[in-house]
Amino acid sequence: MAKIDEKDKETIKGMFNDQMQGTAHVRFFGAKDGCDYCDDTREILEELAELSDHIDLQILDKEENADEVSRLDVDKFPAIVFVKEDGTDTGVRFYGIPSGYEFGTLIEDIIDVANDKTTLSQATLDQLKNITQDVKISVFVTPT
Amino acid sequence: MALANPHIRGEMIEAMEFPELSSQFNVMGVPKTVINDGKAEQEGAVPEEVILEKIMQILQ
Repeated sequence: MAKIDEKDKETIKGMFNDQMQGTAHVRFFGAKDGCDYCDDTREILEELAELSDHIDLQILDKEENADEVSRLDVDKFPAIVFVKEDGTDTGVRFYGIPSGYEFGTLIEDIIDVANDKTTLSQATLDQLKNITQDVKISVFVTPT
Repeated sequence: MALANPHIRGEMIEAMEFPELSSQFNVMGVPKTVINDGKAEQEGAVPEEVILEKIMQILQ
């Protein structure tokens, strides 16, 4: 059964078509054991990838793609990691199913990553540029 | 923010799917932002400046 209803698909397809200039390189990481939401998350991504030629989706597995899991430092499943064209980490990722409000965030992130652009103010960007230490920002969310 | 600097990683974590992590960081309400595994925290949806300030404080 489809995860995204047809009406929403049309809307999203229009958004991708109108707003995406570059390509979003999306890596899905699933695990075969003990992952309640891996299948649903993969299906959501597959349905989204069908809506645009600007989405490059690869489906990876914890066991079968252990090298990529390690290289991109993936420690929870399901994981959605946005990478650059050359495969390096963009720093943007989701752990868990992107449903409810987070589904909208995922759509926005796909578009932002494809355009390599954010909605942050210039003042914020200027300060962020000066950071030379590693920073991890973890935002806890729920599906509702 | 993650897109603006390669040193920054931004992750969204579905709190209910990862209860141990949510419990570790005392996630009572969402969104809750945890910076560098608990060096700084912020509850609620806040303007970007608030998060930026928290980041700058822990880097000093």
